[in-house]
Amino acid sequence: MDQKVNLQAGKLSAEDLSALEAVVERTDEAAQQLRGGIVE
Amino acid sequence: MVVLMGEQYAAAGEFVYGHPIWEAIRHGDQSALHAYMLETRHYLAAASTRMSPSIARQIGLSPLNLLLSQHLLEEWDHAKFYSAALNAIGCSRELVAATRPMPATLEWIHATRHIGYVSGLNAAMCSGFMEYSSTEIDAVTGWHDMLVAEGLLPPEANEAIVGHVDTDVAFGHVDNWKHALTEHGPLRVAEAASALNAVATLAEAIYRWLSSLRQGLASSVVNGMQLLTADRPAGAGSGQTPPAKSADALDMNVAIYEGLPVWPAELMRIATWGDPGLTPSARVVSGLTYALGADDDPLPDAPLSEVVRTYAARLAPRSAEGADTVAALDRQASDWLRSIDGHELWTAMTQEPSNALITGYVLENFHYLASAASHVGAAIASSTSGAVRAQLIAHLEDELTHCRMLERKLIELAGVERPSAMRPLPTTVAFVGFLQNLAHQDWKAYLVVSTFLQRSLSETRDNGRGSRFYEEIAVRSPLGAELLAALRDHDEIDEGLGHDERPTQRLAELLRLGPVPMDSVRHAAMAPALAWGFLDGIVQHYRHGTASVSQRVAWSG
Repeated sequence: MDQKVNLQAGKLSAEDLSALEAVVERTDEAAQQLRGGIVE
Repeated sequence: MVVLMGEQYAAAGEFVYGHPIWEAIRHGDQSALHAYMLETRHYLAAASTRMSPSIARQIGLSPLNLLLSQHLLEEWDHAKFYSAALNAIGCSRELVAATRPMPATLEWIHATRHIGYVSGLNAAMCSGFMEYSSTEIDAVTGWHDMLVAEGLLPPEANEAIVGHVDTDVAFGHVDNWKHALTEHGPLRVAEAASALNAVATLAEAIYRWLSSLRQGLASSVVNGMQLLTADRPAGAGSGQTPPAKSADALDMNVAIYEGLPVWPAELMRIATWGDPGLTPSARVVSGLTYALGADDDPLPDAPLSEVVRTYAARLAPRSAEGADTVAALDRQASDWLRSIDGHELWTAMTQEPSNALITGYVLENFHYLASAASHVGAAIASSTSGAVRAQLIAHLEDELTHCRMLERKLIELAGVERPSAMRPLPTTVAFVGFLQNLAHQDWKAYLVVSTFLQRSLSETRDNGRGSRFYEEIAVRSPLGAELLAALRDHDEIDEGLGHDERPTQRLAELLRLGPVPMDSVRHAAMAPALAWGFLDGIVQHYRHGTASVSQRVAWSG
């Protein structure tokens, strides 16, 4: 319940922020990784 | 054919209704049920766009066209039942209508649109499968009684959904497919095979969708909407304040033609499959970002909305450029590569390149290249500019038979005797079908997508990522080295033909007519989401070993 109230108030725990930050970091790194194309 | 199709429905029904999600809900998984309600609402809201392609292709009112048209007229507004159910569990209609469908829902909708474009009969057969569960009305009634008895769904929400079941049963849609077959008359073998394949594709699309409902973030989007709805000023959305749009219009809204912002592959992956590293609150923020973090921001004024806006801006920085210069459009299309950068498929191919995965990758690309005539041809047909038509004709001439390079390798090296007799994954059908439909609908948007696709290759040339990708696979997989040589050859031929510069030449010609409408850019931006799905379908399916390749054998004739 506390978690819902906090989230509704826009408050995130350190663990929440860390999890979200990890997604941003993985996204930032993606542009350097090897890949193929989807060429016509 | 009635017997064959009846058996196909039984097999497909066993597949779809044997999915573990149903057992999970029976055991109290309310999250899966909420995800099902939200995404079913989107699927139903897209009914008019899914069902109309099958009736828009002929002069005269044939019995089949009449049947399909009547079905559309009886189904187009059924999202209202699920919107009411979602409203009953605390999600405002306005927010529900503004949410972007999950990636697997978009795939299902676009694959179904393509099936309708291909054949009215196939559309009728797929529709027959969707109505198939109506034959087991006792099981459906028992299911809904259970949802209420177990406290998984409040009675008013259940009542709304049962209203949908009752409406469908009253229409008697369950036998429409038999009427369609009767009206059509005897089928050629190839027509029968095509119809059976369409139903198999549909069942596979639904299975992937159900898997995503259970693992992905749709349920967290519902949780987030409940918080945002509860946080609204008193009266808003409760019926005391007139809604901005009529209920019918709201229930028609579904974001299947609006792909901005283009989300990165990592968010697409999490939205579809979840991630064990996410906390419940991080799931909600990520889910709301995917579903509501649009450029035209439908989020209400609330603290949680601010969190979502900040996160959305970090994951997909808003493009400051417009759509009125070649450079701006080229930059936008290049930015959209974030949807495939870092995709799980590339990692799987470089780290664990099994023969099945490499074969599957080439096979699905074969289906894609073999369809070049369909989407380039559609764009030639719809372009109002003679100069662009000339450019596209040159493009078609270059691309028409490139698929044969892949076909030969699949036959010689991978033991795929007839690549064209293998059934494309539903994610490939969604992606390639979208390209075809887009080219029919909006050739300007198609030219922007074409730029995105060409940049997916040229961008890896500039920094060597593409060549190192192939080299890395070759180190671990002798078959991969040989089989992928076909794709490398194709890429080099493309470069030799000057294809890297062609998209900007076409955009320049397009801009002579004036700026590209933003509506077209938003529509084009759906392609990166379906391109992500094209890649994701490959890695999810062909990671299961050799049988995953032989499983693609299609009905043929």
